[in-house]
Amino acid sequence: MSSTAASLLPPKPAVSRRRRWGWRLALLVLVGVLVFSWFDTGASIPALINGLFAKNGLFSWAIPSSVPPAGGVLWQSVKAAVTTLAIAALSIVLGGVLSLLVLPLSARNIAPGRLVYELTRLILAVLRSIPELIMLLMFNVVMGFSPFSSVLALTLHGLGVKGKLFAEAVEEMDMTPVDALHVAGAGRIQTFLHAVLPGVRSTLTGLTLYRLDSNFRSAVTLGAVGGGGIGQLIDSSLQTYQFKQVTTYIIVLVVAVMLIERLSTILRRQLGQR
Amino acid sequence: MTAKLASEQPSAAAGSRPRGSDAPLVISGMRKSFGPNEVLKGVDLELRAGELLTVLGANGSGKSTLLRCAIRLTDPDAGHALLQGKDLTALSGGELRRARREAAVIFQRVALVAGRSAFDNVCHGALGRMGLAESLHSRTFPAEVKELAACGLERVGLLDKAWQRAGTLSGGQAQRVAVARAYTQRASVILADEPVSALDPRAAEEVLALLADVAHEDGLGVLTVLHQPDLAVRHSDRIVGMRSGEVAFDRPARDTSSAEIAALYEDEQGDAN
Repeated sequence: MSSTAASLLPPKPAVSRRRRWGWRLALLVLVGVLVFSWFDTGASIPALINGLFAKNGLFSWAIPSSVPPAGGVLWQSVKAAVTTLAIAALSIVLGGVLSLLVLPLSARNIAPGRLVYELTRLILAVLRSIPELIMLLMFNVVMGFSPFSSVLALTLHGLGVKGKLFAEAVEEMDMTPVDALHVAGAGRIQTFLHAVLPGVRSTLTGLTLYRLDSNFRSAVTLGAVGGGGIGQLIDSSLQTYQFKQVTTYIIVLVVAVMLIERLSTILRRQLGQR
Repeated sequence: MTAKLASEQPSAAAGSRPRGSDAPLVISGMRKSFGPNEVLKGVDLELRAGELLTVLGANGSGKSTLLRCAIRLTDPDAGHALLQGKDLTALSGGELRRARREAAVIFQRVALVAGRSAFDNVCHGALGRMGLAESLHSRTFPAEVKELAACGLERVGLLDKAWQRAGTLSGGQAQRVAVARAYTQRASVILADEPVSALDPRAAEEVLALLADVAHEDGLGVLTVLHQPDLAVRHSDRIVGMRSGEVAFDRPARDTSSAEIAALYEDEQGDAN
């Protein structure tokens, strides 16, 4: 039966010559990019083997020097992890508030005009395109080395990311309730407060919570360049070859990341059920 | 209780300013095209207070576009829409917003904010009259609005569902809440775009009966676009048939024949075949 039906199928349209050559060209470009990247980054298998197995390599020296973990720095590492969490939490809240404030301007379907929308999205794109690390280096220059510099760097970069994600959530929402309030005579702010925000609240909260653990990881990285918290401790200990301390810091770090991920998942699930 | 097509009166040329009228909604010379497709070809229509007027027509006949153009949810290419004497096509910004308060719209898809209670959604009808400070949160809504919202819910028989989230209401209940919102809005006209198309037959009967009741008892003008001729004949005072962007007929519902309603859908049937 099925073979009879298959025989009745019309002939499959032939792939055009142009399309076939397009795929081959794309494959060629991809291979070219990979080859260039390999040589440009100095990738080397012998260097990797040397780093792993040489006398001063990972397995002969670094790992044996890293155990057992240094118990004496446990409390210090927990305090530093809490500082890193504070950096992540504060930057999430500040970035979230700023993203909400620009949301009426950054979502195409509710923005007061095309120019305002384009300008707002451009600013968000600029903030997004400057890596957190570069932002921190700039804040370090003007404000000095402190965890607050990390907060500012993560807040501004987060505004760029969350601002775009929030705006896309609004652009994809069902606009029927918004139209209904518009027709009822509600103003722009009233419509935003009573129809737009309630319509995307779960999505925005989920996105914000999802960013919490990624912000925590970023805050650790920023710590290594003077941003404070556990990242700074890891950097200091690595520079003085205190590998046992580094092991303690990493254990605390892994536990903290797992706890935050778990908390974030639970909160997102709870919100999803509301 | 009677609707009159503007075409039955001394005609207003398409695109010209409409004459004054007591009717809360007067549409004249309404034209709208989407690309090469001319959806409305100079439609004239008058909705009187206290009547339920139903527009019937096949898909693509222009009935939903007419309703959207009437309140400027879609901008018409030409023509006028007088809502309580104010020409919406000549207004913009805050003036348009204030003038449009006279019309409450019930959409095919439920237009309630799902995460808010039925009561809050009914209160939303009064947002246009509230100052910004008192409209920031449902807790700050004025007592007068809350009283009106409770009356509205009582009117549609849903007072017991006041604190239920709108997203958990059935389709029929949600549309009745939308009718209650029109009370809070103090609208003089309700425009309903296929309000029962997603409802089961019983809920559809209830919603149409409620709309007819609102028109007859409360004196609102109710214009509804439907795809169910039987419901239209049973509940409407007047039926307007639309075909290819034009008014094909306009009669009291009791005088409308099955044959002329069937004729509205003949092209669509032909296309399907």
